[in-house]
Amino acid sequence: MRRREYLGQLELMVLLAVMRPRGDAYGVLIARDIADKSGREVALASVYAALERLEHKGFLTSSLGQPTAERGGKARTYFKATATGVREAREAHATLLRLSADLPGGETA
Amino acid sequence: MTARVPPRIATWLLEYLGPGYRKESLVGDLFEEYQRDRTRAWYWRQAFVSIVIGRSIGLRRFLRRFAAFRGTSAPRRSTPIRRLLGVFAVTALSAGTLTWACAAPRTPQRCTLQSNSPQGRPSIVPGYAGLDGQAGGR
Repeated sequence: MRRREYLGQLELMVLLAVMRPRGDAYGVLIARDIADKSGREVALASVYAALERLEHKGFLTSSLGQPTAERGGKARTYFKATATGVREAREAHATLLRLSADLPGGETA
Repeated sequence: MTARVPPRIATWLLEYLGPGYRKESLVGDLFEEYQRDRTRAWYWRQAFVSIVIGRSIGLRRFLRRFAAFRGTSAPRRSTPIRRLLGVFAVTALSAGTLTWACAAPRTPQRCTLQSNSPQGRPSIVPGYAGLDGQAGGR
């Protein structure tokens, strides 16, 4: 039986950013998304470390794009969430909502 | 429009010491982001953080592998048969060392004391003289 993999906070944020309906999720866009939505800037290396862990857990797949001059001749790596990854993100999100439902002194969305 | 060139040393360090996973894309992402009016300090900080994260990931992997090795080898070492073999090996090694030490032949001092040197003082010359005082080598 496969051991259940749990998501860390940054992993969950990265996975949710990859799942956004855009289709071309890559490092810079994911980092910008997280910075816009959470209000804190994350290092690109941290994003890539989370992406590596997520890919290792089977929640993401990656594919290499074409090298472009605007990136100094380096290729982009595009990421896509797998069905397992989407299910895991939904479960983690639902768990967070359930846990935060009874927090004192605050209304949940 | 010409692209801003990020600090070369930082890029070089990143390419050689950065994390192994998708390094080319990470360098390209930093290059792309640097074009959006990011400062050189920002680029240096990102490169430094990338190197630290890359090295720490490598160290963590090594420690995990080491811990896994210890975890798999420890129970095997503690089985009765392995313990018995260990005791036998230590005993055999000790007995062998003792036997060798007791049975080792004493090598004679191969030198001769000569008293007929020109200075009149006795001197030690290499070589065994034998019972009749004739100096000779092996």
